[in-house]
Amino acid sequence: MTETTTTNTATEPLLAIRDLEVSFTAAGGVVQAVRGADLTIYPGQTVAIVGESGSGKSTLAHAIISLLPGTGRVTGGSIVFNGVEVTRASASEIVAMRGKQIGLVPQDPMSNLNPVWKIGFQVKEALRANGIDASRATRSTLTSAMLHDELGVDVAPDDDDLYLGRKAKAALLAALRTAITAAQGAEAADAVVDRASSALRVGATTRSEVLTILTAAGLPNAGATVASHVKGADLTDRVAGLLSEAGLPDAERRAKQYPHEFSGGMRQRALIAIGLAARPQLLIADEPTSALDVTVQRQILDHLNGLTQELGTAVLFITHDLGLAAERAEHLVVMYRGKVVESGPALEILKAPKHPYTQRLVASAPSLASRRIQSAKAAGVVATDLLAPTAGEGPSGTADHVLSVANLTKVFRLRGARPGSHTDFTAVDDVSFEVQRGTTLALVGESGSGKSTVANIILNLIDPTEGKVYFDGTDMSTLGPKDLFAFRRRVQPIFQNPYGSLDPMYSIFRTIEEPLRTHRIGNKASREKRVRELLDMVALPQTTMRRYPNELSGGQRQRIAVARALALSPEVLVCDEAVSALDVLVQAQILTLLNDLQAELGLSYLFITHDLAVVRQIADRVCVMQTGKVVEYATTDEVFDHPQRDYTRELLEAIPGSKLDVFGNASA
Amino acid sequence: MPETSRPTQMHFFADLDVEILEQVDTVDETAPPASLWHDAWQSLRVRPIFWVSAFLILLVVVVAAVPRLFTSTDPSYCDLMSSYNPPGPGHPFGFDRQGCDIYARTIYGARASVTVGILTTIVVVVLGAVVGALAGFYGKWFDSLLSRITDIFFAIPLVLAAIVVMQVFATHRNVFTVVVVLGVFGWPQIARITRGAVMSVKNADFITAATALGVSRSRNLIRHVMPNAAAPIIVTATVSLGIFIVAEATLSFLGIGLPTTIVSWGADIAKAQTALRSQPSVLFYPAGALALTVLSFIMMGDAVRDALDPKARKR
Repeated sequence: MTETTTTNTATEPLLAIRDLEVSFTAAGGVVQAVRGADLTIYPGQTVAIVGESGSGKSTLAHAIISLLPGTGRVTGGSIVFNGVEVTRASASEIVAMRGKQIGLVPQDPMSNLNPVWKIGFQVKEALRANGIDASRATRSTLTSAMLHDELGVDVAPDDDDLYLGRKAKAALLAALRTAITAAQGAEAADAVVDRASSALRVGATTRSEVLTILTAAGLPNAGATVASHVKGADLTDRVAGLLSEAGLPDAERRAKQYPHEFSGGMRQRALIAIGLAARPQLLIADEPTSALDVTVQRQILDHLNGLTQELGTAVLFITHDLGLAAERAEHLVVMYRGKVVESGPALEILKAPKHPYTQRLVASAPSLASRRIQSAKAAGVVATDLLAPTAGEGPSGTADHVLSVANLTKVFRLRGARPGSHTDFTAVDDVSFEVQRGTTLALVGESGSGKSTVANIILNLIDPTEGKVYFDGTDMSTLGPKDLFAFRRRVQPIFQNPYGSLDPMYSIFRTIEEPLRTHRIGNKASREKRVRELLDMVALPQTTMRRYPNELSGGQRQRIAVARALALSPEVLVCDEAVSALDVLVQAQILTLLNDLQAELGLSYLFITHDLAVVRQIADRVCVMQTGKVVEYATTDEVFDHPQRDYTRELLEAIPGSKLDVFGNASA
Repeated sequence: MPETSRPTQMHFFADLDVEILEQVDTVDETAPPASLWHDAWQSLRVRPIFWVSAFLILLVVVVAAVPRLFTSTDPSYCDLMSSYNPPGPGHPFGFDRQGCDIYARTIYGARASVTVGILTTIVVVVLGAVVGALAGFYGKWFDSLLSRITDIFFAIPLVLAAIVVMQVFATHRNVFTVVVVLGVFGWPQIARITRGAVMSVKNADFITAATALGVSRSRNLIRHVMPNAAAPIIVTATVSLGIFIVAEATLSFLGIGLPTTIVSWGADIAKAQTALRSQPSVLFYPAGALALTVLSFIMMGDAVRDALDPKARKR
């Protein structure tokens, strides 16, 4: 890789993938993960690959930097990056390309940082691996300058390559303080120095920027002073600079911390800093924020957007969320089962999807849907398969509260550093709400808001510290073990992870039959009849009952979980993130199923989720929680149209794609 | 980056031939039902190492059960006249110092080894699984108590403890005393494995779901937790079966295992050491049989572990 080949004109694609085929050799033969995919990225462009799990989107991205796992290999087609054919490049060429020309921000911030090294070390490693050893470069220039006996040499003539060092910052601020104190007095100097100090970021501010800042601050003879002090940053300074660029406050101190001291969002910022450390021309961001809360996701993506735009980096953004992709990228590539089914300008695809798969995807994307599923038909929106017919009766107005909680508080005791010591952590703080019979109440909040703790208290899996749960007017805490056993029949849970909520050792029949057997309902024949009925109810073939969970897809498992929950004909279903782990199409199917069942059986749902977009599709009332407290409690329309609290507004704005006016334009 | 400098990309969409949509959520009704054990069997049956070890184990078990099928020579009939005689017709391995037929002794020695191995493993699995499951499932102080007891037993070396305790049984040593002694000191490993497996399973969502259904704690443990924790226990048990055979041989070698009236590989190895340099074949046959038996059990354990490894199975 020489400098001449990496320069390119704007009209030439930075990355061109043609007819790419990737296959994996598995026990059952060869599996084609990517089949004839095309993709083009121009310099500075943001392109998003959208697809559900297993669509080959990550495989395609990993093929670009030859990071295919295990038995995967490219079996056909070409990947041309900057004029170089990646599929035929040697191992050393690819190593040279990684990091320096193509950066990667991986998916899971929790597992992609090495827990035994400090954050700063890991960023430094990214710099060293790519030969960007700032201090060494400066040293060698200085050495050669001394050999030629040039005094006052300009170490690197290009100001953009010279960053402010730690010591230089201190020296410059001292000079500034002296100058301002002499001119305007000590108090003015304090303010000016404070302002300059926060503007000057060690390792990130370049010499020309330093000059601008200090001239503005009023440093006399700034040009010469800056030139004499800013001689480039060493690696440690540069690491701090990269981290602060990625949006980490107090980066110098943070660089000395370990990954476990960082929150998920901060770790993702560190990973972005690593990905961008060597100033690549292309950054591959593989679901960079799918593990994070929506508000954090928004902050990080906003920041990433600004940063890559500033640096002119092209971004290949991989996501399962159509709304997010459309909001963040100019160009969309929709993948399905290893094939690119549609690609084109983002808004064009959203407004006029051509391929039936994309049409379904657009129709199902919760972030783009604007109404509750059952009311969508009434509103005259074009019917799709997710708009199932329902009784469509809204809340009847009578105060028939099947479930209500009053002043619920749960305090967890956390073990302290010393034996015997402890601190109290209030997970749920004075929460009250009611669920009306036959309706859905959504409990919304980000991670740590205490929503799942509320669910577990209602399911009687943990005891509240204070407060009461009333079921049908009966105080739950007064129930004896026998009544409690009966209560279990009336309230059933559906959990988030369909892979974990079914016993892998139990056949589907045993799984659905278990509640009946536990409550000694019917005999063998009548139980089997009931299981068949339940399978019909969740739209699975009756033959499924001889299978085991590992043979079923995530959506099918979730249907089984629904069937099991319905076995005892409960009145209330507590859905704890019941659709969060599913792909959008499957998610839409399950939501429709839940909605149909509600209309059919008059069920009441307590729907716990972090995803406000889903709330709009299913809920009648919404209860927004933040750090254990209820911040807003109103009907869904009120919350979405007239949010009262800042936090709710922030959550609403963070829904990916919420600002896209897709349907508005289409109907106009 | 000015927007205008970039060429716009075409709106492309694929042909409608992709086999789509209806497949999104269908169940393959023709495939046979596949439980975990079914999957494990599917992956086991294609592995040569499984068939080799299965054949060897079967062979050893048959030899142990009916040694008469393999030799008509009485292993306890010894004639000093034929001491260290080389192999001859009817005596393929030759004779040991006492003039006993080595082939017959090797064949008859299998019974003691296999009996001790299997019985000890059963004792150890029952004891270890119960302690481990209770500690792992009920947790808190109960776990602390049981775990400390486990640690105490774990800290005592198996063979050392057996040597000490076997002295007590000096007068009436037989297969069962060896099994009891090895069992009493051998269970901590299984207990630890079980405890870990149970702890990882007990927080699974399906346990919470069962609890919410009204399934009691003890029923949960038996019906849901234990079947899911069985795989590592089976793997460890298979491997430790080999280890217990070695332990029995060690004790017999030291002269405190099985009494001399019972033919055993360990005792024969002990006797062979006196003539190791002049007559290595006397040592070779019982030692080889022992090594082969242990190896086949350990290979089986390895194969079973691979088959039961959730990471190796398709999800």
